[in-house]
Parts: sequence; C-alpha cells; structure tokens
Amino acid sequence: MNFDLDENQTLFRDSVERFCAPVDVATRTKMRRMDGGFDRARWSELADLGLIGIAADESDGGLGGSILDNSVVAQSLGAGLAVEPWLECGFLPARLLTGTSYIADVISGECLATLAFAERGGRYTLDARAVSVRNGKLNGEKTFVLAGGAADLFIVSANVDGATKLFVVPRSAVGVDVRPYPVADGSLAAVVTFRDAAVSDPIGGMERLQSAVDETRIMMAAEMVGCAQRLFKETLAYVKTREQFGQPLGRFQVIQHRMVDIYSKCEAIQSALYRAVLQSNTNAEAAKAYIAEEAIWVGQQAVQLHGGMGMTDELAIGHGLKRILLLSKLFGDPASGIAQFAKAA
Amino acid sequence: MDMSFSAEDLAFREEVRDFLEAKLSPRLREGAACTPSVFVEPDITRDWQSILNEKGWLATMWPQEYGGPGWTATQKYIFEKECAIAGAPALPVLGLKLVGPVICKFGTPAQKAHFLPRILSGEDYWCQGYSEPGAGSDLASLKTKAERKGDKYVVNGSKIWTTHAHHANWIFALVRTNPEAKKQEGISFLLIPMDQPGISVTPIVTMANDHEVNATFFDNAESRVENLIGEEGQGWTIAKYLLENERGGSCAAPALLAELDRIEAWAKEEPSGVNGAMDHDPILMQRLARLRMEAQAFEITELRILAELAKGRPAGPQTSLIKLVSANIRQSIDELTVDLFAYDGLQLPTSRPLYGNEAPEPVGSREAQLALPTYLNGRAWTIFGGSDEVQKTIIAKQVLGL
Ligand SMILES: Cc1cc2nc3c(=O)[nH]c(=O)nc-3n(C[C@H](O)[C@H](O)[C@H](O)COP(=O)(O)OP(=O)(O)OC[C@H]3O[C@@H](n4cnc5c(N)ncnc54)[C@H](O)[C@@H]3O)c2cc1C
Repeated sequence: MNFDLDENQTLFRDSVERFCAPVDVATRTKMRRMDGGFDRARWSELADLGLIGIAADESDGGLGGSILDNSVVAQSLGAGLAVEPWLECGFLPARLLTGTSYIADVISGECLATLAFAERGGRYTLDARAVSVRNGKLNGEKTFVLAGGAADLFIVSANVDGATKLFVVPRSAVGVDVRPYPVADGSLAAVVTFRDAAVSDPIGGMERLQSAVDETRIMMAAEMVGCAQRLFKETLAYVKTREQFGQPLGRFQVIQHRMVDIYSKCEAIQSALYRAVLQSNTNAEAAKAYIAEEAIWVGQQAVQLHGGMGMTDELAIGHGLKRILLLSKLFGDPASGIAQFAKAA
Repeated sequence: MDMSFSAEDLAFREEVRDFLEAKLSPRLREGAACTPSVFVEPDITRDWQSILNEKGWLATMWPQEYGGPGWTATQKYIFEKECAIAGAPALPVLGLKLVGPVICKFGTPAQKAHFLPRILSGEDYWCQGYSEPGAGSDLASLKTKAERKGDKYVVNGSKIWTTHAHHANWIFALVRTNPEAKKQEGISFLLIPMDQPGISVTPIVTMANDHEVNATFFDNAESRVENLIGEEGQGWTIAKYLLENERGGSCAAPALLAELDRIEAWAKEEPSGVNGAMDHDPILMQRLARLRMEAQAFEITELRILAELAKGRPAGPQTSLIKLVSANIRQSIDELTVDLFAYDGLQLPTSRPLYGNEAPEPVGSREAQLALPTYLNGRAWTIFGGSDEVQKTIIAKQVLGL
C-alpha cells in the first residue's frame, strides 16, 4: 500500500504548479477577456511541457500517461485555477481521437479540439438525437460546446439511423455556425449549428464516447479536488489573518469547527478520488457526483468565510466556486450521478 | 388564534390585485424578473416607486403621519404577497425601509419635513455607509471619523460594500465623532450629501459580473451639522434600530413562495431528457416540495412577528431569525433553479442589463440565463445585513440567553 506520487508524477505536478504560479487573479481576468477566453500562447506552452501529450497513447505519439498520471495534472491545474481548457480540449479530445489522423495536432497544441455533444432538451444524456448525419451531411444544433468560442475542430456526436456516432468537423467547414456565449467559469462556450456540413466516416460510436467521458469524469473529479483544496488553503490563511472583534476570525469556535468540516470534506474527496483512480471497478460517474457535491459545499463555505470579499471577482474564491459549479454539471450533476449509482448497485 | 382574512381584508386583496394588474407594465415586470442582483436598478424602481407614491402605497413601513398607508399588519402582508405573486420590482430599501423609518423615529421636525418627502418622490436616492474594510461583522470598530468644525462635520475615512452608492445622492453613515469614548459610544449617525468633491466612489464587481456595491472614500467630505440624526454618540442605538428593520419587519416569505411556484411552472417546460418534463423528476420535485414546506412554515413565523408588531411590541432580536431563515431558503431556491436548467443554467452573461433591448440573447430561456448570476449574487444573502454567524450569535445571546 502506497499513496505517494512517483517521480514522474511529482515532476508533472511541479511543472503544472510552475505553469500556474505567475498567473494571479487580475492576470487571469485579463486572459478571460482575450479572444476565445484564454491565451493561445499559453496553450502551446502547456503542450510543449508535454501536458497534453500525457493524455494521449504512445501509439498516437503521446506520453501514454496513466489515469493516475493524468489525474495529478488535472488536480494541479484545479489547484492553480488554470484558465486553459486542458480537460475540455486536451484530455477529452486526446481520448476521443485516439488512432485518428487528428491527434498529432491536438497533442502539439496547434489544433484546439472540443466535443460537441449536448443538445437542447437532452438534459445530461450522451445520446445524439436531433443532430444527425444522413448522406454524408451533418445537420442540427449543439449547445454547451465548451471552449467553443476558441475551438478549431469539433468532435460531434450525431444520430445515424438511431445510433450515436462521432464525426470530426473543422470550425472552418462550410455549414458550421458558431455562436459563443460566456459560462460559469468565464470561458466561452458556444451554440454550434450545422447545416449540411460535409462529414466523412465516423471515428467511432457510443462505446468510444462513453469510455472517453468516463475517463474525463475522473479528471473532472480531480480538478474539483484541486479547486476545493485551493479554496480551503486560502480560506484557512484568511481566517488566520482577518481580524474582527480584536482577534483573528480563526479564534472563534464557530469558525474553527467550520474549518474542520471543510478540511474533513477535502480529505474525503481526495480519498474518493484515489479510490476512483486506483480501483478497477470504479463507477466514475458516481465518484464525480459525490466529489462535486462536497466541492460545491467547500466553495460556498469559502465564499461565506471571506464575507463581502468572497463575493467579489477580485479573489480566487469566486473563480474556484464557479469552475467547480461548471464541472459539477458537465456529463451529469450530483443528483443524476448518485441516482445512477443507486440504480447500478 | 385565527389566521383567516376578514371580509374587509378580502376586499382589500381584490383592490390590490386590480391595481397591480392595471399598473404593473410589461417593462416593470420584465425589469423585476430579469434582475439577477439583490437590488433592482433605479431605471426600473423609479417608475414603480412613483406609481406607488401616487397611490399612497409606497412607504408601508412608515407611520401614517409621514406618508405611510396606515395599514394593519394583515393589509401590509396582503400587499406584499400580491406584489410577490404579480412579480413587482423590489423597491430600493435604503431610503424607504432603512433611513426613512430612522428619520421618522429619531429625526427633528425639520429633518422629517426635508427628507421624508424627497424619499417618497424619489428625488433622493440613498445608500448605506456602515461597513468599512476593517469593520464588517465587528461594525462598532468603525474608524471613519467626523470632526465638528463650526456648522459642519468634516468626514474622513472609507466605507465599503456601499450598495448603489454610484446611484445615490445621499449616504447615511456611521461615523466616529468621539475617538476617546468607548467603542459604541463614540459613534454618530450622519447624513452626508454624495455630490461633493470630498467623496469618491469606485465600483466592486461581484463574481456574477454585477456592479452593485462600491468602495466609498471620504477625503475631507463635508456635511452640515443639522444632518446629524439624534445626538452625537447616539449612532449605535440608531444603527441597531435600523438593522432590526433591515433584518425583519418585512414579508420575505411571499416572494419565496412565489418563486417556488415559478420554478414549478418552469419545470413543466423543461425536458427531462428521458421522457416528459422535469416536473416528473422525483429528485427535483422532492427538493421543491421540501422547500415549499420550509417557506410555508416560515411564512407563519413572519406572520407571528407581524402580529406582535401590530400589538405594539417591538420587533427585537427575533428579526435575526427572520433574516437567517429567509437567507437560507433563498439560497436553496437559487440552487434548485440552477439545477433545474442543467447546462443552460451554467451560462453567465457578462453584460448588463438582462432586460430590455440591450440584453444578450439567452441560450434557452431567459429564466435559465438568470439562474446562475442570481445564485452567485445570492451567496451574499448570508453575508450582508449581519452574516449567518453573526445572527446566530445574536439569537444565542439575546433570545436563548446563552
Ligand atoms: C452584496 C453586499 C451588499 C452590501 N451592502 C452594504 C451596504 O449597502 N452598506 C454597508 O454598510 N454594508 C453593506 N454590505 C456589507 C455587509 O454588511 C458585510 O459584508 C457584513 O457585515 C460582513 O462583514 P465582512 O464582509 O467584513 O466580513 P467579516 O466580518 O470579515 O466576516 C467574515 C466571515 O467571518 C464570520 N465571522 C465574523 N465574526 C465572527 C464571529 N465573531 N464569530 C463567528 N463568525 C464570525 C462572518 O460571519 C463571515 O462569515 C454588503 C455586503 C454585500 C456582500
């Protein structure tokens, strides 16, 4: 039994920490206002560090990192409150596009790819319904396409004779219309409409989608654990320094107990994450749901204990809570995930 | 014990309904419905305020002699309830509900004659200068000082979280007039005109992208001595009176219940992704039902306090319970709304306003677009006006005697 990071994992963690360290909240806000919602030069930097390649198989020219390796990256990016869409445009496409010709440019950072799966009225289902392919033409509307404002390539789930298949469509293709809109974490998602967009053969179907999404759920859980721990640390530091009634907030028993509750949740979700990563019979959806629920609570408490300051966009606190909220719902919310677990058990 | 309405009450309710039906324009309804922040912007509230003022239904908290409608507690409750159901915009409380009653109770005849009509007409728009960077929960440690020089006070220091200071032409502030006195005793309640070179206001943007609060700086700002309310050193007593009004003495439950009704209606329209709509989703509907039980019980708690007030007993520290309970129900409602709208509930528009022609196009419904900014701004309910932790301490000490 051993829960230590190995040498490589430590290197990955340190490398992500160095990558995130120079970006303070003000810089982060500036990046969010850039075209697409982040800095493409920093995306290339991330790729150069091998942090996108880690998600791709060696046969695809990647580093072939394990789920644990990748979760270390995800958790560290969460702790760093990175604006780069590593999860959405790095890990997930690297898993979806394995074995295809697109993967090299994704790993190198040249091509920003994202999954377009959600449809109006579909709630959290992964089934493609209204978006369909017939005679080589893709039609329909996808919503909540993450990083859709910046993406170069869409991996689109579409209905083909009742089955869900995955197609690859460049943003620049004829018949692709992108309407970006801001979402919780300040990034730009998009509604993407396809009108007779030409597609070639599908790269896979539901099986490929489901397995990539399940792996991504682990990464989302990891990122939320990182976010929550960051908020915990900042809040702990805050209650030690902020004084009211002539003493630091942390001297009040109510605050002490609350901090212990937060700490306890953070420990619990770290354990839940390790369990999900290390055990083969993992229910990724349930793990992610549970971690999300606790992480949201941690985020809310971090805001509460910062008082008015916690409400502003000037601290990391609100940004952390907002990223947690977004991740908590991507591919299913806590309620749907735990309900699924109950059914499966 | 009796909770039923008399025939006169029922007639009054009809009158209120007819009035709202006639006077609440689509623009006002939209402005109210599409405001994700705690306070509604003056471009909406001004018009609604003047309609109510004309009718004499504006200052429901004030004694009749100063322009209050002279309602019974039941009438006041009926009015609030009908406004909530109809979706009327929340009025700017800072003048009407906070400083207004203070002036009614502690003001000189001259202050009453000058300020009260201007609050009613909307000519004066007020903001509240209590909190400071170093004095939040521990309000009594405030440092902003006012020194008397001839017929003026000269004010120096800074206030923070001043809601709508960027709209206001007056601020009511707690200032330290006697640095030697004990903490609470050196504080005074001073009205200060905002439009002067000694005052500057800088925006603070919330995590929901709203500009509602500000930092307000006083650099040799001036106010005439006749703008002091009560006496020097009486500020803390006045501040507490005001805070009790801020925390309770109103009707929050009707708005909560009306919101739950709206959520239920939206759930009927929101596809569940499996078959049918979210009004058949057992988890969501259980949460909704549970919240309704809480809000219904809370409504009775409020009525019990209203009945006490009607008998002339003071609101007192129970108002802390009102503030505490309503803030928490509200936040649970906001969470439910965000969850109802799934992915659409994650959009977070950066531009404002979210009503009128300039509003950004929503993804899905307008309600979905409002869900997250409302939730995020709503985290403040358990912070401002005395945080949850502060309210619990007050209740523990003053109600439970601990
Ligand atoms: C949206 C918004 C609008 C506002 N509008 C106004 C306004 O118009 N005018 C105005 O004057 N102020 C306004 N406020 C300020 C508000 O009243 C303060 O934020 C509030 O009093 C808390 O103070 P603080 O922010 O300094 O937090 P702090 O006092 O620093 O508290 C931080 C945390 O510690 C907790 N805490 C503090 N002391 C104790 C204790 N003894 N025991 C246990 N827990 C404790 C608090 O509950 C909180 O969770 C507004 C605030 C917000 C967020």
